[in-house]
Amino acid sequence: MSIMEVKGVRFSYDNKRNVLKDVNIAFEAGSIYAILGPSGCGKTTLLSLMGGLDSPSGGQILFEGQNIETIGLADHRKNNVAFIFQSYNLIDYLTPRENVALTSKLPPQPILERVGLTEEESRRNVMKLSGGQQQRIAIARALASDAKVILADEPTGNLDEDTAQGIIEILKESAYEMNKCVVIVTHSNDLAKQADVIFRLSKGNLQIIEK
Amino acid sequence: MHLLQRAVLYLTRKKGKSIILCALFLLVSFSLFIGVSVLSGTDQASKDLRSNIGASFDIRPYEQLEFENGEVSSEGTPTVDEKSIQEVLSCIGDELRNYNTEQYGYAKGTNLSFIKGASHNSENNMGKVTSLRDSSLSKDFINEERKLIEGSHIKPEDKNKILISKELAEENRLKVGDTVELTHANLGSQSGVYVDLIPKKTEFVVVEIAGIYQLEVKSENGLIPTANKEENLIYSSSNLLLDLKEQKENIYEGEISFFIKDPLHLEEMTQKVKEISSIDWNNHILVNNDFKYSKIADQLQGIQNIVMALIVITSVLGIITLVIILTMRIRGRIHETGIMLSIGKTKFEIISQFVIEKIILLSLGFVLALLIFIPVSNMLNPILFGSLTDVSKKTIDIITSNTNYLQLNAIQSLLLFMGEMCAVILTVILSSGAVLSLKPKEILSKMS
Repeated sequence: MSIMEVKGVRFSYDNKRNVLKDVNIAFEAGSIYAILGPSGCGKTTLLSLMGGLDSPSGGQILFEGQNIETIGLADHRKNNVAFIFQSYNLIDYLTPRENVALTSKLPPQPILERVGLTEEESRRNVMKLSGGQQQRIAIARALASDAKVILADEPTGNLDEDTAQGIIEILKESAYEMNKCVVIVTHSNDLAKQADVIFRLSKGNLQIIEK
Repeated sequence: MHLLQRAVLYLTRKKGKSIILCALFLLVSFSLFIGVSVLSGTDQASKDLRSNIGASFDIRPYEQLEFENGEVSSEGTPTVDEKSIQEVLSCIGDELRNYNTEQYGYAKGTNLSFIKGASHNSENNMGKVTSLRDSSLSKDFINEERKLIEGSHIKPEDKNKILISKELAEENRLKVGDTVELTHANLGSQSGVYVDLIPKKTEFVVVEIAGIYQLEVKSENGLIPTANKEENLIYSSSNLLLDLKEQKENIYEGEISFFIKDPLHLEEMTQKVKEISSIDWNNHILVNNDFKYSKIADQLQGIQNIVMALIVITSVLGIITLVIILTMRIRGRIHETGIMLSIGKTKFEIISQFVIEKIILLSLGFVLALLIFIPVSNMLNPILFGSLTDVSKKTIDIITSNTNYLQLNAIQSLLLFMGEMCAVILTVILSSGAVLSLKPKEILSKMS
């Protein structure tokens, strides 16, 4: 059974421009999905709809068979999905450990160590850490929430190649060892190639281009 | 992580912003402390002044003259008896501070030379006597037409005590504590000569000089007989004219003054008194006297109006400043708001964190303002209320200077804090509205 399904989802801004037209897609736990597409094609919008940050103009999004509108969008965001953003989106007045503790249903330190942060780094001001370290914290925060779906929006967009690969390895580990469903939105073919399934979003339609 | 913990972490990590906001709360709280304390102080001072100044009303008899067939006739001097006085007193109840009765007559003294007036001779060598319960309550002394310069006033419990003028004391080389013998007399005129209508003396009373007064206002008139000269007026304890058989016991033909504690009750009190049927209101009038309070009340009302305006201005300016600062601050926290929403925090939780942060800072600012306010109020009290003391001292001795009218009690402080807290909560909600009315996606779009 799919952990998450997007069924006939449509989305338009102000009923004028159709960004998404009848998108249908199903996601399984323990897999990595990549959604490719040029800028402005609606990748982030689709991710936002899946994450309950907005509501579709039509169609429905199901989590474990239940419409997320019925679950409640805030509850869906709190319990079912976790976001990883390109710009890390950490809270600047909290330490890495405190940032992870925001969502934590688990102790933060082991998770931070798992993504490669030392105990000393976990106590520092997040703004004084490198981009790679900040993205690891964002991943740790996503993992700490114990959500079954991780929605990553250009997670390596601001990172150099080596650091980006490190992040991809952590995401793979999350999917394969922790049985998470990882959905990555990217315009990087290199990153997309490391996913189990690759979709392309073009002119509001989604197509599988590789499985 | 609990939102209280997040709020504390925000405040401790964003020290600069926290200090600025705390300083603003301190300023607003301090201004409100001053405003509210002055308002409550003037109110308290007003009550104290009222109770110290008090007010009075007089029951004043007047003789009704009738014209019939070209002749003027009188039914005699109207009187008020003791029973009526007791009825008035029961109308006043606990509000009574004191009352005073007056009876009038004449007296001659053995070996006493009065200050000579028109057509003076040994027969009309007499003076007027005013018998009263308490000479300090006599209009002559209250209105400062006469001033006691030696000894003490006549009190209700006194017997055979008199006050004489400085001139009469000097004329007869008398001093406080000396005794003189007085006898009854009555002024009349026969063939244009002032005479004593009681030639045969049967009543004698030895009285002690309790005090000597000075005339502050003199109206000299060469035609005034000795008996009516102001220097010859003797104030005596109420027994004197009774003992000299010039007046009857418990019958008063003079003015009776009642002094009450609170001038605000004067009108209500006199309305009740007018309903007393044992007093013949056809030949008695009731006169209210609260001009001293009215004069000071006007000043206090002026202060209260100014302070009220200041409180309103401070509150409005404080709230406007707070709304502007908080709106800017909360807009500056749109990034944090977006993150919180994306990890499933509700809008209520986010606003609650903002509210808790502001309440912590408000509490801190409020306590600091209170600590600063206490010594400042001690300094301001004599400046603000000292002048009132002086004004009232000119009328009657009033305020005890030890009272700090600017001190607020615990309930007043708590109410002030609650009021500020409500304003802050409302302000935070208003300021957050612009951001939190957006959808999470819109907030995240603004973030990116």
